[in-house]
Amino acid sequence: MNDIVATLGLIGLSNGSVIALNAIALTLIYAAARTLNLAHGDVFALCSVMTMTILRAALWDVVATPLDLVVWCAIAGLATVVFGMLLSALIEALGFRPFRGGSRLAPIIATLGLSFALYQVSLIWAHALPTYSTGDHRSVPGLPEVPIVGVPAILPAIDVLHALGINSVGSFQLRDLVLIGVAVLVALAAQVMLKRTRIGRAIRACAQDPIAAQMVGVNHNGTIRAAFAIGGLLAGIGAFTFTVAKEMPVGSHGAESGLMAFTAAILGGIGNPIGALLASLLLGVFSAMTTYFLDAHWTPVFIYLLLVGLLMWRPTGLTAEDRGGDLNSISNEIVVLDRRSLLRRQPKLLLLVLLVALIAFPALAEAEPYRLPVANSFLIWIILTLGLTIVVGMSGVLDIGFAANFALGGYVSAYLTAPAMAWRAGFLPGIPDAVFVMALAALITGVVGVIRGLATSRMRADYLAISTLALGLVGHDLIKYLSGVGGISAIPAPRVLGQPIASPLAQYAILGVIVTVIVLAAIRLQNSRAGRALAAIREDEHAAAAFGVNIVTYKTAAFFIGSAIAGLAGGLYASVTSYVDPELAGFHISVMALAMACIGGAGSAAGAVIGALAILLIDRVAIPTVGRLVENSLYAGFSIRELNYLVFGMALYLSLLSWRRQASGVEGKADHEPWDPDQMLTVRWWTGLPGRLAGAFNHLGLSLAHAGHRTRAFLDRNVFDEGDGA
Amino acid sequence: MTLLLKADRVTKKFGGLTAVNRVDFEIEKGMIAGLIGPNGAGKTTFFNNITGLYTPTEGQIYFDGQVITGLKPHLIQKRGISRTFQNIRLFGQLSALENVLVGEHVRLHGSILEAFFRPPRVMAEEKMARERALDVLDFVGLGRKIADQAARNLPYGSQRRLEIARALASDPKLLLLDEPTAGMNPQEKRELTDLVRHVRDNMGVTVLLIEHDMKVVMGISDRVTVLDHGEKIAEGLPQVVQKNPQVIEAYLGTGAAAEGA
Repeated sequence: MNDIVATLGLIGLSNGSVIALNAIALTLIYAAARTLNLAHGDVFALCSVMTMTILRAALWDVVATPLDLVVWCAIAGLATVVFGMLLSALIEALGFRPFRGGSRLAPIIATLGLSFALYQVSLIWAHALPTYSTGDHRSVPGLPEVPIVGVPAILPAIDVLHALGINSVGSFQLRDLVLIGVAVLVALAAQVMLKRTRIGRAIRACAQDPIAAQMVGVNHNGTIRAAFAIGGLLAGIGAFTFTVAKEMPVGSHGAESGLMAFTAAILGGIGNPIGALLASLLLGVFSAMTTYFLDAHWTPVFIYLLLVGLLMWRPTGLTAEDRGGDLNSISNEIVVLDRRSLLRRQPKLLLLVLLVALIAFPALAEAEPYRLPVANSFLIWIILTLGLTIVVGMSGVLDIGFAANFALGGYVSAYLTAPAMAWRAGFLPGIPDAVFVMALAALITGVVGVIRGLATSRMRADYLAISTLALGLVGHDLIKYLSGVGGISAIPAPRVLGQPIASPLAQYAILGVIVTVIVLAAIRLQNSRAGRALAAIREDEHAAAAFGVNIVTYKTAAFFIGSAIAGLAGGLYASVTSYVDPELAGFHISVMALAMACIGGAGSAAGAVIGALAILLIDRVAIPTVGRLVENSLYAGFSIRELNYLVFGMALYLSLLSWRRQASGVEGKADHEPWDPDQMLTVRWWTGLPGRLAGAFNHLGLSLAHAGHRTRAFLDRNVFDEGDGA
Repeated sequence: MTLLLKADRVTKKFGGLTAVNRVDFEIEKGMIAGLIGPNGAGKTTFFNNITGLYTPTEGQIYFDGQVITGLKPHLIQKRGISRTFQNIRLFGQLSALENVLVGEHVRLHGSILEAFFRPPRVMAEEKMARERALDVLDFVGLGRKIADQAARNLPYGSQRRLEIARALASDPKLLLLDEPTAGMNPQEKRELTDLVRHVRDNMGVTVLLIEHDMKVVMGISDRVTVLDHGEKIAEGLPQVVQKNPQVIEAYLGTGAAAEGA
């Protein structure tokens, strides 16, 4: 038993070191930029692919001398480190710099988008590497090729415990020792850098008070850039070590591994590398123990709940370095909220067009019957987006784990109707009525949504975003482990009053009515006393309270309504598609819904419909069409459908970029941030959807907006930067 | 005259720091009272104690004869205390009209469910609320033309007025103004002073204002209270307080007080 605990401890230390290699860089970046970089995990993963690419090219299937090994390792290490620094600096330029001085939340969402895009890039990159080496098979002459998997072995396989003469059931390899050693060295180096160097002092000064730091001559932008470059350097070192030691690239999606590392960074105290290292090791050992004694599945659930608990317990940060606990800073920061642009301009015309399209569609689609089921899934997505829109736009709580609601509704529906659910027979004879099923799905999801919402609603914006992300992942994991990875199939079509509604047209009609009713209700809500109270809470919670708005009541209502609508969407999805699986709660569903809500302007019902349609048309129509055209002309085995993540990620990022003016305007005053150059330029040529899409595309150079953006960038560089160095 | 607000030895501590120390304070109905003091004297903290954003560490606050100490802000607002903020805190993305309508929140009754079903009673109430909100915009001198503009796009002076309009919309008995003329030029200050007087005279609202500008506060207040380091150091008619050596010392330092005496 002691042996097992000791071995688990050692394994835990090794796994903890991997977390630490991420967490140390993350804590530095967080300290300087004062918000979370969700794309850092993907920088790490891409660095790892870089190392793999070089080492494979040089050393695969080659009998190398020790000198060869050293030289190639040096080359790969150096290339990885430089690559990491450049990539991290790029993340700063794209995900942080445009939002500087504004909401702390904006970079989180922006880097979430970039994270998805980078994740896709790493998948494509890894996919593009040759999978078979040329020449004869090593052990079976005549077979032509050897599959290439992982990274060539460089570290000798030495069991350290064994070599030291300690008898143990487990093994502790040299590679584990190397990982731990590098993590310790990196932590020490980062600590010395922070405490003893000029740039380290600048980072700490910016962490304490960016404005005061600028007053004494610290270049705020330069410091942040340097912190990202150092973070990238550490990612390079870490990824190189990981790849060589584990003989494989990092496989996980960076936003998820980043969350684990962020837990460690918070636990250890932001801006404290040694603390991050110790916390990571602790998490590693904790994970090893829970994995062995409980079940591997429960580990992430525990870690994420720990993260949310930490954020709730110390919503202003664990260390004094991150101040902001005063009354003013607990303001609602929200990213996207230009609710009037669509609804105030021509809501009636726009909605009328949508309604006509909704009614006319079945007639148009008659020739091709497969289109109706597709349209039905579109309508379900629209319902989900409307739910998210209500939560985000009306209560100001941005939920990045919203898909958990969708999945919960789906599972309630599945448990109530699927034939596999034998437990039901005792007290629910036959298949219950769809109205009852959907109402229950909505009710349960709504209640869970209220609990989730109230638990997190007192948090500062960036912590709130991280918590909802973590809770979303918890939901995903819980469903997976409580109900099985395989999902539930053969869910029967909905029955109303004993009549099954199985034809796509009938389902379309019902879904269409539901969407229409929700849109109308949302619009009515917006122009009412309750809607104004919600908007006031979103804008300034304390001012709203000062005018008699009961914050808790209204937030609860918004959480309930929004989550219940998502639960309804999930319930409908289950019975329309007859299948649910845990991926309904997946991260990509949350991000897709978020992108839909953002594109149309969160808070606007019509915007939610337009945004959902735009993303769905790209995802379900444009990409497959283009895919069919080019799929075969590209290299084999690669499907353009795999570009999904890239599309969502970039859509989310670009829509955020086009909103940054609104985003930065809300709370700059509340948080002692440096003044916002964006506010100086009150160019407002992109209110309204066409302008907004132009804004979204401006980085692609697809519109006149490009010129405006370049002007702004020029001003940023040449005019506003001067304030920093003064 | 009847007593409207009474603070009984109100103390507020933040950790080791005593921001407000055993302050006794009274306002009678229909008066304009001034609260002055150097930076950090605890004026805004005192305000926040009255409006329920903070709960006093010790002491009681009575409003209209009832204890309001420790009530939630929205309940205190309901009793009839309305306020403006030192750094303007309008709902920036809402229109001017909507800001005033949020001010009317406690007077209206439409619930979330009624927002969906729109019974005639709620529609009628909404219509009246809009009329009234437009009247309030007129009353503070903003006019109805700016009703649909987003609050954040209004000029600074108008934003100050809109804050007052929003506060008046709830039909308060007591209006708390936190540095209403901060950042204004002399002309604007005069206009705002007139507005405050107009509010008291024509709406019968009692006013308590925090103000830095001596000229403004002395010209408008019926009575002035001076805070320094969280303690009340003087109280009385403006002309009397103005000559109080302790007050001069608090504002200008010991040397100036000696010279003055």
